[in-house]
Amino acid sequence: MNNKLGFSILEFMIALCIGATICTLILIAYSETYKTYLTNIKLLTRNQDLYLAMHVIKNDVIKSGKFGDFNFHYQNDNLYQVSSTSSPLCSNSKFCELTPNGVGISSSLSDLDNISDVLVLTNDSDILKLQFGTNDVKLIFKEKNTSCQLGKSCLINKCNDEYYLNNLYFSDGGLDKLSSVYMLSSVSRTYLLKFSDTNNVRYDGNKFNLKLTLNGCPKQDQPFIKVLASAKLKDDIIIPHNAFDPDIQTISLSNFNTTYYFVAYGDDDKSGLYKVQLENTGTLSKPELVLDDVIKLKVNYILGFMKLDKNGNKIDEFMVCSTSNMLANDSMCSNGWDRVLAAKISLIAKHNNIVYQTTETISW
Amino acid sequence: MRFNGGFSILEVIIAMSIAILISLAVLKLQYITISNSRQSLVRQKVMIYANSMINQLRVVSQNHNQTYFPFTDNFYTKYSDSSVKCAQSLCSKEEFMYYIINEWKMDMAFDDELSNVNIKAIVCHDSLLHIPTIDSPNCDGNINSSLFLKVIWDIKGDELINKALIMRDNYIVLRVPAK
Repeated sequence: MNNKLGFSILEFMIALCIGATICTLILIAYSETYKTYLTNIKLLTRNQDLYLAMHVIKNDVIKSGKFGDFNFHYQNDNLYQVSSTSSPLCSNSKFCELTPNGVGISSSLSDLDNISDVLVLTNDSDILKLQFGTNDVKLIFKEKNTSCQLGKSCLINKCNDEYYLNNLYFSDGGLDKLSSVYMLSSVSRTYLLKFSDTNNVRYDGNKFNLKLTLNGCPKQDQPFIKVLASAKLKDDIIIPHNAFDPDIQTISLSNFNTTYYFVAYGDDDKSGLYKVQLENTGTLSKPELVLDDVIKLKVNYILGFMKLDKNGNKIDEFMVCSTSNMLANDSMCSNGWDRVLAAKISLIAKHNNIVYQTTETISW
Repeated sequence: MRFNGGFSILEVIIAMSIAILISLAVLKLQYITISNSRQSLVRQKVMIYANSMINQLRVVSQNHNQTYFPFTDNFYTKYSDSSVKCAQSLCSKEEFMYYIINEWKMDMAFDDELSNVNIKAIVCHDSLLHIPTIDSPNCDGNINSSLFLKVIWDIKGDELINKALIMRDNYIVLRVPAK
């Protein structure tokens, strides 16, 4: 260094090099952290999206098999009946009736129910079918049974020594009033009512009125419900509680809903999770994209069995079955839909060659 | 610094040491940030798995007469080579518990997003809700107490990150609801 103040060029270069090295190190460290941060944010976002999609499915799965106070998970489908007009709007399609011997949840490997002619469904992915009641409303008029013989307009009318549900009044509790399919349920039984129209003749602007008989007898070309009385009705006796099947004290009306979740290719040839559901006209809605990038939906079921040991004690047994096991004829799982205790649903998505996965088990 | 003179070697060494110390501190901060961010990711995934497992265990414990199902999972590892297979074949309640727990551990072990994590998990009875460590689940095994699901994890082969974790919030303890 000479006598003048300040750095020589050599000192300045060395200081610059040290400074540059430190700055570079800090920059590299920062850049790595930022890269990790971005990767983590992407992972978190994709996982959150997948989890939210699973949450949408889960909400419907929890409801499956429930129609008002009637719950298929605690009953059996012998208590389910269909009452229909001769030419209902929701006709013979599988989404217009409950899956036989089921609890409101089932799945398939191919499009057996013709759910979409617009989208191409992916292979090796399950189609989840859920059936449940929405917006159930309770019966509001429970008339006393006073001389409900032929020609009267009572809740239960007598016709040729048999009894039929007649005038059922429900509050306007958010029912879809233009539906062609309803589920009428009590704790003891559930009926699918199928009409040939979607007009609101059943709604008087204030109440929902199901007139199921004509002068107390079943109407021609109308759904009707025969009442099974456990004690013989006498015309001048007030109707006792729980004496009837269906139990009129717990009767409620709900819209019948069938919803499918499946993986298909969209217009952009990218696969995604889609949803379709039964509309009031008796047809299925257009597919609605729930989440893109989903490549697979898989459903496994936990089935419950019961046997007696040599002392006569009940023993629970369990088995896990995939959708293909449930559909196979030669499997112990075959058609075990009524034994389903829980469903294990997996969603797998792929984005930028990274595979994301979430699994949820839902029990009732 | 002397008047008109340059830096002495001592001054240079001190200055460099300070610079290195600052750099190391910055680096450590970066590690802490990365590890905490990784930690929340792993925690989210493990929580989803745990939730699914709890719902499966509820199915099994639902019809049981006792308040808590007496059960001991002997494997505090990722998964065991279980011979119990309940896919398409009937299993007793205890066999089924082993099966679903093993399947659950295998699902976590083969999850790509958890591939850089050592996970240990167990379902056991515990009366005092002891916190698990990587070496022991700390279950007292009292069958009159609740069943707990315990999961703990460490970032694979990165001692620096594992040590850098501020609050070693790397475990989950959940009670299995009994009916």
